[in-house]
Amino acid sequence: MRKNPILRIGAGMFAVLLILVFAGPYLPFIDRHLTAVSHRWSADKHLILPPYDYSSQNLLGSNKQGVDNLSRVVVGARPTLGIVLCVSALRYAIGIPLGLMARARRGPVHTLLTGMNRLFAYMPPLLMIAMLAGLPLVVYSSSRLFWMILFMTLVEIGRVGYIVQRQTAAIAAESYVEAGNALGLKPWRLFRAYYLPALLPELAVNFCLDLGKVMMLLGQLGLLGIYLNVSPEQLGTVGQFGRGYTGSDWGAMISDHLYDLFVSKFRYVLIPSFAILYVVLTFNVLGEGLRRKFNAVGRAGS
Amino acid sequence: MFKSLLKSLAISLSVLIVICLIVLIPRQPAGVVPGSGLIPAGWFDWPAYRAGVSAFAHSLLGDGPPFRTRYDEPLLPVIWAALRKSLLVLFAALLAGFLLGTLKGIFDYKMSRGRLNFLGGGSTWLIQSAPDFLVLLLAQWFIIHHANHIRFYAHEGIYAFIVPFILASIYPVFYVARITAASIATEDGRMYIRTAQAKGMPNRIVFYRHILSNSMPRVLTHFAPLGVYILSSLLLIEYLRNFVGAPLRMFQAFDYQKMMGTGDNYEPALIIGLAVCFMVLVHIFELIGYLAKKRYASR
Repeated sequence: MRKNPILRIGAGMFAVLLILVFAGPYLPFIDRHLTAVSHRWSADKHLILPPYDYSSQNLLGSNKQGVDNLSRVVVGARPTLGIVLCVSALRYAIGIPLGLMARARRGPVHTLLTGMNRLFAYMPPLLMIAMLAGLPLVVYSSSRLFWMILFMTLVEIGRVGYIVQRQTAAIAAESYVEAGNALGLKPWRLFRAYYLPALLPELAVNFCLDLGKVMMLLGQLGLLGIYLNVSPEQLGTVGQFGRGYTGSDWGAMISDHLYDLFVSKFRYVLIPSFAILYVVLTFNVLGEGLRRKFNAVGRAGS
Repeated sequence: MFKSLLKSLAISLSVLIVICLIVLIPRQPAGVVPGSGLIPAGWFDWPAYRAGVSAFAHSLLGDGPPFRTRYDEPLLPVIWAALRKSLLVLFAALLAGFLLGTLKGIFDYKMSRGRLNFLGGGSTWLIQSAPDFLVLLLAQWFIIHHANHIRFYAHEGIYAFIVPFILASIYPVFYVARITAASIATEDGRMYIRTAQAKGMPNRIVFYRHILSNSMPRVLTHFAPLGVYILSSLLLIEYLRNFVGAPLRMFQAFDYQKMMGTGDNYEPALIIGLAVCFMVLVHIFELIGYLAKKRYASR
């Protein structure tokens, strides 16, 4: 086997991420329940009020309610990555069949894909999601997260379908597929034994990159102040919503501190942003490593 | 050719109609359950939707009240003013992306043979992988805390152009660089290149006349997607600078409120108007990309 350091680095970064997601909340210095410490006393009996600065107790400081920032990031990793995985998986689950159906570059599905790609060019995805997020359907629903995941999925299905369509069209031109066609194989058999093995490597790479893209979208939405997950109860109690702890994902963490940004305090927004950077880098490194691995396999096989 | 153009036009128009129908979905819940205070009676108000669509159609056709913004201004001047603020940055960033990106791509390709590869392709890859909003936030943080003579929030003067221009062209430069380097790599080593080299043509001429001019059409296919990307990245740049260009004006027209979803100042006509402008822009990008590609191909 050829050396593939990039894949190893990617796998290592991914392993760290997995440990953070599953074991992170149970680490001794992580406050799993995100308790708000309302005050502390210093050694010389001085009252200290939150936000607490960087210290051994709060490695990344705390927010204005006294909740430890590092704990927020670690506890938020699970919902964040869950949402990201959900969106990407849905995009591919819907986009792959659409792309396969449109492989001849004509017909209704092809028109649908073209239309969707145009739609999100005339109205960029971020703007479209921001507009849909304000629908009463979403705002007053108890399943807001479900709708937001659906919107985040919909805006990129066209692109996924297009990628699959392009690759399938290239595979369809290969002579071994023509042989399969000439043998009169059933569509399912053709798909499973001819198209899928050739499609999978590229799709795996693209899926990794897509995970990074969704992660970025989550951060952008956070920066625009659009929460993915707010329960109606939180909406009902006006006072709590404004200052309280709202969602636990990293996008919500950015949104919670938008006002700090407007007074040039960047710390609270940058902490989850760097967490997002780590995840995006992980998936990009992993994707690049996979690409090299598959390219090497392809070369060895030919 | 004519038929495909017509079909493309039909798709664009239907997409526009879909956008109108999405934008016009009523933003207030269909009444409130009596006595509950906040719990709405229905998610979707069909009569209001029908009335809204018909009112919009009447205004569009000229036999209804003309469209106004939330400040009771006529619509078109507002759209034009917002668009004018974004257009210069948009096209400048697109141009810079392609010019500097091609140069960086050549540089990356030349470095890819040496030991300093990480300076070329590696740096391009790294910067392209970073989330764009983080780059914006770090730039803002740096300018405000360490380079205060640069006026980050400038609304007029030289900084009003330079700051968003540089921020908007970071990603395009590296995007184009990556495509250029990959495109050159596929072109290099082909038979006609080897023939030219075997005939004793200087390497520099082989590179610029043969390799580069043959990889340019492939790079130029990315013209329109890149334009769309810059358009949407301008939203975050304008949002952080609080400078109301076209994308940010559209976002403001949603009147997004985290409490109630949409406030009272939702401006559907303005959103649709700006979407039409974006549509025209996308097609201008496509046209420029097409013409540039054709010019390269004919040489």
